[in-house]
Amino acid sequence: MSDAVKTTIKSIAVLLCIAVASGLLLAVCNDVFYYEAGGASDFEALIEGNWSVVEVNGEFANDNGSISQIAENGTAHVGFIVSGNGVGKSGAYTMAIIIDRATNKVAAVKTIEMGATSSGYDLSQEQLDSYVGVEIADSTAFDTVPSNALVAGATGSSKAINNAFKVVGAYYTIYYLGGSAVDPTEEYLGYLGQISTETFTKAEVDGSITISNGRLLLVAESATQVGFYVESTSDGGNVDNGAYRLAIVVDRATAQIASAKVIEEGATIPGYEVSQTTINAYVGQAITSATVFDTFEGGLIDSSSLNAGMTNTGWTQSSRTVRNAFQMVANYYFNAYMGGKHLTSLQTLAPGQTWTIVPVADATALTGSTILCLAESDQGKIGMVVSAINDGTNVNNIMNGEYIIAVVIDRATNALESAVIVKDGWVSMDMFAVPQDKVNAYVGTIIDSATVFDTFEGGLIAAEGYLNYGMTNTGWTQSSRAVRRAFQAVANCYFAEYIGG
Amino acid sequence: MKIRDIMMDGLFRQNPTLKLVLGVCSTLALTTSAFDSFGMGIAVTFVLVCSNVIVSLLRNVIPDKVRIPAFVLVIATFVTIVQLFLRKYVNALYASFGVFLPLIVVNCIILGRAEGFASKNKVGFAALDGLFMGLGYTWAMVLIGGIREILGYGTFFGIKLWDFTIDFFASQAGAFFTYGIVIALFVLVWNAIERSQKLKKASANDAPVVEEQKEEN
Amino acid sequence: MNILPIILAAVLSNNFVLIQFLGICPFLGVSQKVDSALGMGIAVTFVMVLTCLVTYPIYNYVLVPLGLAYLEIIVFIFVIASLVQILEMVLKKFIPALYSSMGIYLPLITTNCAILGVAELVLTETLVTGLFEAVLYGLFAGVGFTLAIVLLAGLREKLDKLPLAKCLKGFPATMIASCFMAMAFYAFSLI
Repeated sequence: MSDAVKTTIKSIAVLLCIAVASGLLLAVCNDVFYYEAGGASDFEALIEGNWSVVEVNGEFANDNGSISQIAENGTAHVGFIVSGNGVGKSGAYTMAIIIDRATNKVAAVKTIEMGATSSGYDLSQEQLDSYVGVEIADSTAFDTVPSNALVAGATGSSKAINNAFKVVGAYYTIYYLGGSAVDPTEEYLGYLGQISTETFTKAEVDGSITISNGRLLLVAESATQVGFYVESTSDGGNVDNGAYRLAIVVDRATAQIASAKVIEEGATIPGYEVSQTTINAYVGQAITSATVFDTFEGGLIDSSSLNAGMTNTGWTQSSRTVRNAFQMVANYYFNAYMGGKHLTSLQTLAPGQTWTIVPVADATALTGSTILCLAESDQGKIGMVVSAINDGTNVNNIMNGEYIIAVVIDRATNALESAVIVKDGWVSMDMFAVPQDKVNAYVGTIIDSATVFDTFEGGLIAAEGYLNYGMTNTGWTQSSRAVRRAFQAVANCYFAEYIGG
Repeated sequence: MKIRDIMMDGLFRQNPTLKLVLGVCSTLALTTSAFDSFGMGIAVTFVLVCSNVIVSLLRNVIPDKVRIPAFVLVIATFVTIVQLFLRKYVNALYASFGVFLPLIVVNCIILGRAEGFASKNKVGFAALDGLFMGLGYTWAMVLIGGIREILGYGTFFGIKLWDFTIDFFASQAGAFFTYGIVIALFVLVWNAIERSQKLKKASANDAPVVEEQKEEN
Repeated sequence: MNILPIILAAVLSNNFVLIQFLGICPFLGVSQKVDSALGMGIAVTFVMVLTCLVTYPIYNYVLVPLGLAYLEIIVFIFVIASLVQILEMVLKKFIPALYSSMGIYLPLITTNCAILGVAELVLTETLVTGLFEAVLYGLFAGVGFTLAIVLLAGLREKLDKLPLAKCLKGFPATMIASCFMAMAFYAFSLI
């Protein structure tokens, strides 16, 4: 055999040997590192037990995502491999979520496949664990994202993960709680219909407001009212009381309770029910602070008046539970609709005075803006916290977010005394941010008409000449226009409320 | 001093990323996050060491004509092992590497070292060369990745530092820019270090500066 | 059929070199002169088309059904190396003119991340739903690569004549030029 042929044979032989050796090695590794997205292995890693796969009822999927696999650990736990639809820049997330069947609470959660574009936008296990302990009472269990699981800068991923939980919530409610496959919102709106003639639409719940002694099942808005369907629990006592469910409607213009009704009685001992007459003690009361009902005794029932012959002292639990419902509504309404949570901004801007919130007749009088809070101080100042969005055309289809400003006006002179940006809107580049000196351009103006800022250009920033990856923008920046819109809303509201006309 | 040479070459003198400018694709794509950069660095180091060892062991067996295909086959095997391992144990990295995980196979550094060093040296040295070349790649990656992550996202290894970000550094253009600047700076700094070392030697020996004799193979 | 989206994506918004960071080594190494850049670009396009034509069916109709998906990397690299070898032999024998203008780049292409990259990407790209679209994607990925490398060559021919600081000469200058090109192509991804 010539050398050339020998070399060729040797070459082929060597290559074949290497190929076979590597093929075998990889076959072994493929088994050792066996990975199955989903399947008992993922659940085992979270909670030990005897996991067995069960069938998914009808390939469950809804607007938020889909379930690919379910496994049960006897009757103790049920685990889901669920995909939550991507939001914003984040792709879909595949999560393993385990529910404790005894308590209907989330027991464990793990990311199987992340949808974020880089690990910098992913949620940490600690942040995911803020879902642990959340109870699934119905399919709305995850409508609010736990605050630690909504990560600023990673909102897409946070919401995608939340979508996965929403799917689990819906499925679990239907198949494990025997709940209704129907979204309960229609049912709840029906209850509001029993005490008000207005048309209500469901509103998003502000998750930053803490609710205690119960939960908000529904918050809905109509043209002139805000309706609540709440579940309140007892706040202590010796006798076990069931939860009460009440429908409560608040009139926006006066911030008064317009009507209320008990939908589901919780009282366990006959004779302790709360009558409509007692409930009516709350109707007409105005919500002046978050704690206005905390010491209100008009709707409480003295237990010594019942069961004559037995010594009971104090207020009945059922009436206290009912009062809890009103406390919840007052707390939420004050903070969300009267701008209660915005008081701190005014207190920082103009300290040394006491601020009292005043209801606003029309919070959205000026398109693209909302009066979040209107307050009067004991030193003759008017304070406002306003949010607004850009009023011009959007460049490159980039919508910047809303800006929130806080202003203080002197009532005697109608002069705008001070202003500050409480929350900046989203900007595509830092050069578009609005600095304080641009805000200060508005300070000092006498507000003598509703349109005093409509053509004011002192606080606007010119966008000409900015090089944005080779593109030139012209006109005023969207962010500065959003800020001006907020001031326009201030002028509009101040004129309407205090100067009249 | 062979070991010291190997160490200095891999880490600094012949740093694959900053001096030889090899394996550029992964450097540009994965340095948006210091953690991803570090992960890739370790993965490449692992493959480098393993493939260097095998290539060195087989260096007298593989005929010259088919050496490239043979090397590539060996490298591909170890990359697959890394891929399987990461998919099971470090899923986050598996997801963020994306297509660049299999592309480690054609990372010029690994093939370059197999061809240029491992096929001509003993196992021990080959392994060390793989290790230090890998470490050289890793520290360069983490440096660039760190800069881009801190300036582009305001975080470092996922830990939020501040709210200040310059989106440019997180973009593709920023990748080229940062890499270019870091290379330039590294050349500047390293040349300065070498110059001062030469001067020290000169003054110590009190003799004209000469190139250090290279050891025979 | 997603023909237009695939073309636009492969050439512009997902340009292999400037957006996806694939094929940088030849991008940096063979872009000093426009002529050689063009030659490299054409060679790469050829190989990309052939690669997609072969690897796509092999993965979907051989490896996956047999449960051998873990052999993907090894099989692909073997296919690419063989394809390039065959292409080189065919060109040398039958079209020597073409071989002399771009054949020398072929061995370099085997270890080009753009080729293995395109083989991997057509498997997961959502726009690709069949063999025809896979080959189309490969073709225009190559076009995009050629576009980028020729543009950079043009820039570099000018750059070489600039007086730059010593530490900036060579790679740093090329990187920064690429940086500006990347910025320009970024605009396409906003479509």
